[in-house]
Amino acid sequence: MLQHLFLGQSCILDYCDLNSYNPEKHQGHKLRGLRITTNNLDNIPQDINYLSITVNDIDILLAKLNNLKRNRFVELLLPIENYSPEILPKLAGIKRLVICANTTGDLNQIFAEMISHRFFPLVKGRKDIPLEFQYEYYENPHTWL
Amino acid sequence: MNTMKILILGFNVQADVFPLGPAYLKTYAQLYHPDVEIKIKEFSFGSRYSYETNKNIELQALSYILLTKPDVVAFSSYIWSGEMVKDFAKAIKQINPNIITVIGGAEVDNNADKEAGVDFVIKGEGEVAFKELLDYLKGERKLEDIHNLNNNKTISLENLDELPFPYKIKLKKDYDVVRLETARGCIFNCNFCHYAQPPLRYFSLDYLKENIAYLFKHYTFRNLTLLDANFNTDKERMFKILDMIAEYADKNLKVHFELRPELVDEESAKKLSFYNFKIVTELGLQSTDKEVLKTANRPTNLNKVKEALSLLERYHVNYKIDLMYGLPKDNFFKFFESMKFVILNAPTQNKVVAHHYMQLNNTTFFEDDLTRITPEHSSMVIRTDTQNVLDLYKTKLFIDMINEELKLFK
Repeated sequence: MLQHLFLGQSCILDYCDLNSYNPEKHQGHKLRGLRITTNNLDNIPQDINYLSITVNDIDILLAKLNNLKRNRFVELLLPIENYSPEILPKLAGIKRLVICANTTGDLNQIFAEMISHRFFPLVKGRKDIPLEFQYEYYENPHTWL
Repeated sequence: MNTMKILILGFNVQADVFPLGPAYLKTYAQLYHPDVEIKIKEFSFGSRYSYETNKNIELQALSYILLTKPDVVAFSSYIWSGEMVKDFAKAIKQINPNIITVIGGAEVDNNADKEAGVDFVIKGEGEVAFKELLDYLKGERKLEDIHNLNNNKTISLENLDELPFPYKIKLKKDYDVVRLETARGCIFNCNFCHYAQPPLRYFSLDYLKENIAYLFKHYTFRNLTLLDANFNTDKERMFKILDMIAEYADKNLKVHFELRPELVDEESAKKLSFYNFKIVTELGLQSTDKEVLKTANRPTNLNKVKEALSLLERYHVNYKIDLMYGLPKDNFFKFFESMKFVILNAPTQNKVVAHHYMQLNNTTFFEDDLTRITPEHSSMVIRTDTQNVLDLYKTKLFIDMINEELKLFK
């Protein structure tokens, strides 16, 4: 989110661009981020300090999470199909949890569970919920201008 | 009556802080009643959790009372102790109904404290009232002639120099934090605050010069907090006081004080950077929203605040700028704008410092239709005209999330 306020200091790569990642070139950037999926959680350069992980496989994530979150800001994009309240205690140390929900339906129960685990409730893919909970709102640079 | 024995209890969150309020009461009262034995005893909550099941502090204090057998026990009600002192007052009466209990402090509530069985409730400044209460207990004054007591006439000391310097009492001489009052009252009158209720008065520079020298000669401490709601209202006076401190301070001392940001100019920022001790300034912004600020009766010139932050940055003056969420008329998006203002204009501040608004007794907002978590005493609001408890808690979670992300940039 904050990369929109600190444009000159941010660099967020997609996994497919990782080969072009040059630590020296990116040294000036305080935020060195990577967008990946749970299929590609190995061999992440150590100086990457921001990970945005799309969770396709919750078991793979949980198996690798302890190493991944060390000294990093980790954001999870979790499809609602993979969500269950039981996983929330296992996500301690995750700094941002975003539920991806293209389907309609009441989210109050999920919000209540997220809040009780100290996550600010954020949802991607829903326009019918209050604006402050819409992930896209914060992804829009205009929000930060 | 034999020698009257008075125990002033302090209940604090932070340990190792000089008990300034009790020391004022004791030193002033003993000017007039040297024959009365007045003791100060402090208890610290530290990181107490589970108020319902953990009463160790109360048990310690009650045991202390049982052993020392005071005639009078006096203590204060503040935001951090308001809940426990009412229970504590009742407990004292249960162990010995003859002990006279007195409660004071900025947030006392005459009715609620009386209901808790407290014998005397002192509102407003305590020194004169406490001295006059001792007059009464010795049979030298009528109850209705005690100022600031219950609903009697109110009084504030006109000349603060009449107060003996509170550090001239026999207590330990080494503290982490000592606080020095340089003024009482405030030129502003924010609706969430009670700082401005007594009239604005200053200790004279002569009083401060003499007593700052005493403080440094007789005490060791690592932090000195200057108590003046807007220390830079009179810049010449501010620098005279800081110069007095500079005569004795070393480079490891941290001196904390509050600045009104709009009054920071280039000359003062530059001068602040030259001191031989560490300066930690606090700037209260609370909100950038015009309607919120107007409702709080807190006129704020945001351009001047920006300018002040830029000057403090340029001259490397350490500062902290605070926000408050949950004020009347505020909402998530207004707070979001306030937060962006701080992130953008306070580049060396590595987190957003934001406090949940606490509705305090005896403030203008106390009269408003707000709901707080414990109606009986000062506490966090849980419903305002524009927000409910979920709005407030989600704001807190949002701030926490943003502060984690800010660590990547600052």
